[in-house]
Amino acid sequence: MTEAARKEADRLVGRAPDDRRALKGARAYALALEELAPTVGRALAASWRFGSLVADQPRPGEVRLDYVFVAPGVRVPVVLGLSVPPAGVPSIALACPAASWAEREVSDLFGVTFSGSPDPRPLVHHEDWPEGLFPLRAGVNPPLPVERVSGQYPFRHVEGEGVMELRVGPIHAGIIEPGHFRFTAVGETVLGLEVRMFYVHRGVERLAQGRVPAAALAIAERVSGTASVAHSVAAARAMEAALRIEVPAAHALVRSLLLELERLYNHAGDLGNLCAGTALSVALAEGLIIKERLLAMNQALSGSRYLRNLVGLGGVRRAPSSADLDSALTGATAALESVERLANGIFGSATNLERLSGTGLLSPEHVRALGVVGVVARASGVRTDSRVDLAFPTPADSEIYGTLKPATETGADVAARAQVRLAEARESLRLCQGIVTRLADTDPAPPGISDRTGGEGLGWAEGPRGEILTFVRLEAGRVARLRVRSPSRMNWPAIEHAIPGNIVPDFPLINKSFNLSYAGCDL
Amino acid sequence: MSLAVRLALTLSQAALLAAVAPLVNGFIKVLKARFQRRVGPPLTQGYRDLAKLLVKENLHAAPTSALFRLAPAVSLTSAVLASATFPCVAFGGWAASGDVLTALYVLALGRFFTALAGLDAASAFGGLGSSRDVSIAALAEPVAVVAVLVLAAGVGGPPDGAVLAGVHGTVFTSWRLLAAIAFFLVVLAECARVPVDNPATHLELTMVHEAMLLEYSGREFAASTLAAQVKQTVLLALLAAVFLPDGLGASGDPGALALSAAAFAAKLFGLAALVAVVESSVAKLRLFRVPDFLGAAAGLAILAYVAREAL
Amino acid sequence: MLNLIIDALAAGRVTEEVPGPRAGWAAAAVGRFDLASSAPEALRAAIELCPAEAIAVERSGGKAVAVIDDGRCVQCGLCAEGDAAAFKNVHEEPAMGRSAASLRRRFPLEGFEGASLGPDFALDAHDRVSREGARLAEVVLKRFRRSLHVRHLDAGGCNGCDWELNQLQAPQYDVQRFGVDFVASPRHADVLLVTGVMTRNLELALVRTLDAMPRPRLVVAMGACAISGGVFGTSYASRGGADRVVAVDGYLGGCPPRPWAMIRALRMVLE
Ligand code: SF4
Ligand code: SF4
Repeated sequence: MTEAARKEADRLVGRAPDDRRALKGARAYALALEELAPTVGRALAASWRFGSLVADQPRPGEVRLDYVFVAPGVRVPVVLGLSVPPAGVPSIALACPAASWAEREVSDLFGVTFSGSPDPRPLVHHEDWPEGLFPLRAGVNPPLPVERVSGQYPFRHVEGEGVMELRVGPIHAGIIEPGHFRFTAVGETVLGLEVRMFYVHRGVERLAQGRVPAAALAIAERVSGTASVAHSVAAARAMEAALRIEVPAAHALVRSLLLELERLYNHAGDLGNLCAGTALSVALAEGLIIKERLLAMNQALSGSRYLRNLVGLGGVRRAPSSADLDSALTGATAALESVERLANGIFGSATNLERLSGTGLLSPEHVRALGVVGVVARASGVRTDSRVDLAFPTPADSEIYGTLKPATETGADVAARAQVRLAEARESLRLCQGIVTRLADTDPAPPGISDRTGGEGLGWAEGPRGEILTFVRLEAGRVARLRVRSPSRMNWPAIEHAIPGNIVPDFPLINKSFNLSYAGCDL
Repeated sequence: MSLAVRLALTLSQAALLAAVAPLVNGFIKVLKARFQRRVGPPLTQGYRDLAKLLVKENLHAAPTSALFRLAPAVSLTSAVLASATFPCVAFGGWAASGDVLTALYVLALGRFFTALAGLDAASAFGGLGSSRDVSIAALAEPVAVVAVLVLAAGVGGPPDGAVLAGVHGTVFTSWRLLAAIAFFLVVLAECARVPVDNPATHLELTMVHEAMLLEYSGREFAASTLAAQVKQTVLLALLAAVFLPDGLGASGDPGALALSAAAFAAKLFGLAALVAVVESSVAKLRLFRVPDFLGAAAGLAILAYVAREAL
Repeated sequence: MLNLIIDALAAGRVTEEVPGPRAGWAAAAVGRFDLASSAPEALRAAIELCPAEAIAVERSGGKAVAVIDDGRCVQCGLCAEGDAAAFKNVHEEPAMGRSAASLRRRFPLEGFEGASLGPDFALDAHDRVSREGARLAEVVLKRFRRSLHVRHLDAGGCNGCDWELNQLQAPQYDVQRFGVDFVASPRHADVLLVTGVMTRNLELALVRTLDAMPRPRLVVAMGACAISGGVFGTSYASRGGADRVVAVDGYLGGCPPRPWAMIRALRMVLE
């Protein structure tokens, strides 16, 4: 089946994969500039989902663009590679809105211009960034701090009778990350929302350059605090693909366990947090109690409340003892029982359910057009889950995940997103049980190693918020390019479409139901 | 009893209510904390917060006017004065008495100033809070008036707090309970409590009352905070003393006074506990459902009237 | 409707006593890292691996000292991996203090030859120690100890510190019982609590938030990012620690610091 899908992909692109390209963990094709638009058109018609746009400079003076897609059945990402001069690439954003932010980002960081783009505004750089300075281009090292210039960001503008504009942020009143929201509203009803991000842009991709893999993984763990495992696993898998490292079964299983535990504590916490939006204070507190217990359990297992410091190149840095695994499983089982009770409170309270139902609708058409991933996509009835869409690098995981049926809901509202989280929490616990059982009769082994010091690879992981796609190019044992595509990057633009028609005070609730990471988006 | 003594007693009742207001609010917070399986702040946290605010500077955003600076004092004064119209402890010659409706109007004056100040601060949220607050008030205030009139109907004359308490304190009637529930629902709305507002929220887009106070600091913020707490205590006290005057003593001898004071305290804190229970068991309503909620309160008040006529 | 409350009352209180800084450490928990070996190769390897540039060997006079900066360390444990590692995980909280420099811990090295290694901490422009905090009158401190209102500002971290801060509201910690509360407006705040690296795009927002806070007030930086930039350091997109932009009164290391340490650090600045 996978073979047939791969043949189909070859037919669609009109050629065999590019065998000169050393990119591993993907099916890569080389395209000429003028082939891009028609190929993307055919790909979208065949339900390929836009995943990522990777700009890289393997040779100075030349920018290479890789358009990464996830195609049904192919089980590895499909890469349409383009070598381009830094101007005159046709924009695909009109046909594929999901690529719009990615193109704007590449323009900002590499100075590639996309012709015919529906939205050529800067994205990463704010209005005071000097023009013509592209910080990820090879050899660009501006004196720090980079000077500020005066400028203005051209927000979209809505005018009309009784239309008022409401600006929120970047700093918010609660313990929340920074971002700027502009609502246009008539009375309390929202007509439109524009999201301005990248306040927490730290230059993660640039910072990883020149680091040894272990240090780069420590950075990847800090792309988004509550998806530490997923980001480091995706980066590790990309490095392992690049260096052709085989991960032993025992190591792969522990990683999968960590991924599921990460999902569990996130979903449990999110269910409780939703109640902050509806003022159901007892359930909010209960959610915090459960989350605290899970964080303490994480620490007992891994040393870190956020499950950091275990994922390493070739496997895990330290194998948890079987006693540790058992007590983690006991803790997780108890936590899930509490989550079930919490969910009864959340869905059983008529006043609460009334707030969740029909609020923040996101249509499946928007999900597809914008390449939305994770819980948000699944709650709108679109079944995308990289644990199913993409292959696992090791047979051990494939076996565990062979039984996985991603939970979907069709409600497309806040309630549906909460239901999906609940179903996934249950599923995560079931997977954890399977993994611990399998681990008991899997031989321990040292992490995988390799003599190679260079190569390119793609890696992926399904984090709590959805699919992460990471590209790594290594040179002489150090990271030459790290490219992270977090789920939040795909999902932030979508929230603009879930708000209109709702009332202003429901925005925090809808935002919480998306639970997107600002840090993960902004990098 | 001379007017002077009576005035002094009335004012000391007002002062006492104002003085316990942070305690009542603290009591609600501690109770809510217990429902959340935690210890919660000290009962006296409200006083500690006020003491702290007194050493802080008053900061003003450039465009604010004298109105902005005046509003906290006005709303605090109006909240304190509102309690002068009804007796908490004993009625008859001892008691504070006056038109209860006036009390409601005095409170409305405080709200009016707070809302204007919210607009004056020229921040987006202040304006949002003011407009929400005023639209809620427009529905809540008539219901409160109707509830009071239900009690006053048949008594004759203006709805004097002492007279109402005297008439209703001696007999228990079920319709009086209906009116009390209606008034309680209004209190929830007036005091920015769940399900209408959420006093514990940090989400500025959802705020009603707090949004109007976001720009205040120092002593002015202390006054605004205290004003809201006093208003809450006064409304609960009004509910306890006029709608549920049971246990209120008629004479001024010390034993009866003590008993009536104990009954009042029990009712006041019992009602505060009820606020905590409601706030912990229901979710906040969507803003556009608030009229339904207050409509239900109005319905109850009217039902109380019908029941009164029928029974 | 009432079942939520009834269940909660039946389940009982979960608020915990504040443990001592050394109590309650799980065997594997990452804490601070102390010197384990003075072997030059081990130190060199640790400096090479450290993702946060938190380790250095300084030479002053004839003596060499190994320095580990808890204001930078992200507790990744890479310098403590393997039998011959230069450092070891000791189960204690990372340092806290009133200046960024006070978070640097020094270990004398025996028989270490050769030049300085690693980053030069002396070049750090960090130490903008706030004079405002140190000058607070006792009466103010006393009132702050009984009522402290915190405004949080994420200057650009990974959000890990923010989640830990959020956990302070979990019933197990119940920070309200100490008179501490988070407030929605800078005007209501006594403490500006900064987490995350100081990004270029938030510098102005940080300054504005502080300007909106009435005096007397304090600024506290929590987490490696807010102190030094942590794993993100300085780059085209960020300035490093918050004290490059505003004066800071208190620092707490960790990545992220644990909730109990956060509570202790808030107390520390009021001493
Ligand atoms: S960050 Fe801290 S734990 Fe990690 S290598 Fe550096 S000093 Fe060691
Ligand atoms: S200190 Fe660590 S946990 Fe805190 S924001 Fe920075 S990277 Fe995240």
